[in-house]
Amino acid sequence: MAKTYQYCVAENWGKGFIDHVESQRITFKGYPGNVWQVPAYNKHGNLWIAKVAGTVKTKDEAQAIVNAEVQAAQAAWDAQTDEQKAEPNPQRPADITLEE
Amino acid sequence: MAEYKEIHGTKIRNYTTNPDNPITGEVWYNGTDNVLKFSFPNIVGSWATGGNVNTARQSAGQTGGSSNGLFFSGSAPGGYVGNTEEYNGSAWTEVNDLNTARAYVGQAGTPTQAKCISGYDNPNTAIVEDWNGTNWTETTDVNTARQSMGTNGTYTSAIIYGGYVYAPTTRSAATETWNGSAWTEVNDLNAGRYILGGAGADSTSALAFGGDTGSRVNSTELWNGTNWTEVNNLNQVKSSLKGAGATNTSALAFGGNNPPDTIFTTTEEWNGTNWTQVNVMSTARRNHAGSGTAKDALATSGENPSLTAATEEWTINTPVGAFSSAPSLNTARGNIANFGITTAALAVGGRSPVVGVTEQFDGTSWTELNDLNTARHSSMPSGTTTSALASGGETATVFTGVVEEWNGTNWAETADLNTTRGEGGGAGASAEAALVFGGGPGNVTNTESWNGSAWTEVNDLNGGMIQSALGLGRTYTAALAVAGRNPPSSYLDKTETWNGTNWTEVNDLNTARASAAGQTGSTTSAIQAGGYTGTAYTTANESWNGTNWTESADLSTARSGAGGAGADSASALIYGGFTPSVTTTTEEWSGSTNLTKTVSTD
Repeated sequence: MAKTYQYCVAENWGKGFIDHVESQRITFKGYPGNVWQVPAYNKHGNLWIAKVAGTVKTKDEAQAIVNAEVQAAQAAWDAQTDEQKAEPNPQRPADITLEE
Repeated sequence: MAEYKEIHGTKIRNYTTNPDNPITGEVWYNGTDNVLKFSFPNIVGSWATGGNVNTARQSAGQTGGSSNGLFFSGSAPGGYVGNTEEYNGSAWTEVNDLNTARAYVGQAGTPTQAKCISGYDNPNTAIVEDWNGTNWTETTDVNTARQSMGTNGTYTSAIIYGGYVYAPTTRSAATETWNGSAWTEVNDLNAGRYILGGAGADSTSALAFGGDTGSRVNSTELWNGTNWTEVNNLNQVKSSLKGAGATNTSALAFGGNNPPDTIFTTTEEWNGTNWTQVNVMSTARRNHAGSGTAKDALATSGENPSLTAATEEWTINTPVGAFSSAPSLNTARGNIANFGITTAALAVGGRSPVVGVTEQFDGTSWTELNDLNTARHSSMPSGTTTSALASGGETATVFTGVVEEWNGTNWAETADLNTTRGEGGGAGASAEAALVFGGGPGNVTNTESWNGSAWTEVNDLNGGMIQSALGLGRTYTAALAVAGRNPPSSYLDKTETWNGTNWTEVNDLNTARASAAGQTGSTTSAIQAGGYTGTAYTTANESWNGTNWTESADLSTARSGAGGAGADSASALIYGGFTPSVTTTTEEWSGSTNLTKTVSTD
């Protein structure tokens, strides 16, 4: 099956990393580990990856990076005291599954 | 006071429906609906990344918008913090801390005059601190210490509602207002909730949405200064979201989550009656900070699910046009031959199954007229509703070179194409002057020109294009061949322009695709809507200004093989097509920067 999305790793430097024009042209999704999802086979997606000097990753490579980050967050949550875990707000970080 | 005529130079005119090309701010009387209408700029909002905060944290407070902000308190690794940072529109700078470190606070005011209200300091604290632009100073406590409440308002007129309280632990419905000197208990929310979103002007105007009432909810309540009233729900059930809004009739809700596994990028906009999903953030986040207005907002830090330092700025900007629903075809079909303009269009032939049906749109409805003699789909179209050619196409079994001429009433066979083909492009002003190019079987580059009596081969396309957009062109001396497919599987983004003699490659589409709707414009002004990208039916729409394609507002329904009609990029009609099943639905494009709205008389 042809892929719908492509992935890259790029550090979000803040202002100008994604501008309003880019945001209106395509849909971005940022994941833990500086993993970014943009549409596949899309000129604006490709141009943005080039702009941010993103390192293109396969979906499986990107998933592995995200998994490592989520597992670290889960471990940090699990290491909390029972009192901290019982607080009403924070929830244990859930796994993230990237889309093809 | 000046009268309307003195300001605008005309009185309010009566129209049967609406004027054809209203200008920004124009007001008129719509005699069909018996209402006043006006023309309003169609502008959309979007998120862009802003500067990263120095200390990533969750459940912080914040005031301000995209060009200036104050970010304070929160939960960071190591505990609750009193850190405060100021934003100048591009970078965050650390400034003086709160006196009491905490998280899950309430917020009100501006970046130079703010309130940090109550919150959680293991356990909750009732402390309120005021920011004067330099330092935080303790001021009057709230009556009920709480965390994760809804909150909005100004330095001198604020409101807090809901939240999580202890002894006994409960999701509170309590509401308090601040008048500049004291907190006063007022009427409760209808449903006690925490980790909700909030927006509004001051202590007399608030909107409470989403949160947790024992389970996650999408319910919304509106505060009128005296009571909370339930109004329409958010589209998504979520908690740990944030809101922005200077009134309770215009607000944003963004981010949040619905445990156990969904953190949202989504944004919803409240217009005083309903929530509508609008452009999403790039980073999904929950327990972030949020503030601003529905036109200028800031989403800061939070969890993704680990802490993120990223911020995003919401601003309202680019005019982009819009599609709206229009009357449906009578017969659902795709690969329709298309002719005409928005107010006078033909939909001819199509499949599935293969038909010779002809329908005409008069600006109000579709009417069935006489059929083609040879039922087929993917004919190359040229002309108008009163004089047209349907050239070639595919029957249920084979490609055909049959050409039929339309005189406004009937189809009559005329001279066949030299090259049997279908799924190519067409252009031309009438049945007396036409151009046919590209198509299949295979990948045809031939171009043929029709002078009213015979087909003549002229210069070829630079590259073969099958399932191109059935062509764009109001004359046979000026046409566009756009996108399409190079079999078996290469989807094209290329554009070629015809000057009456030669084809020249010009700038590409942004999204490669085949079978977009054609005849939606000219060589200097056009749109390309829908099509198939090789992996999916698309809603993508692009506008052509004679030099470049620019992405514009999308179709509502992703479709391929739809019919199209339109003189230029200002207005067009997209009808039928495959979704993948065949559809009758029609959408009307307005490339105007304006939308027509109704004057509220309530």
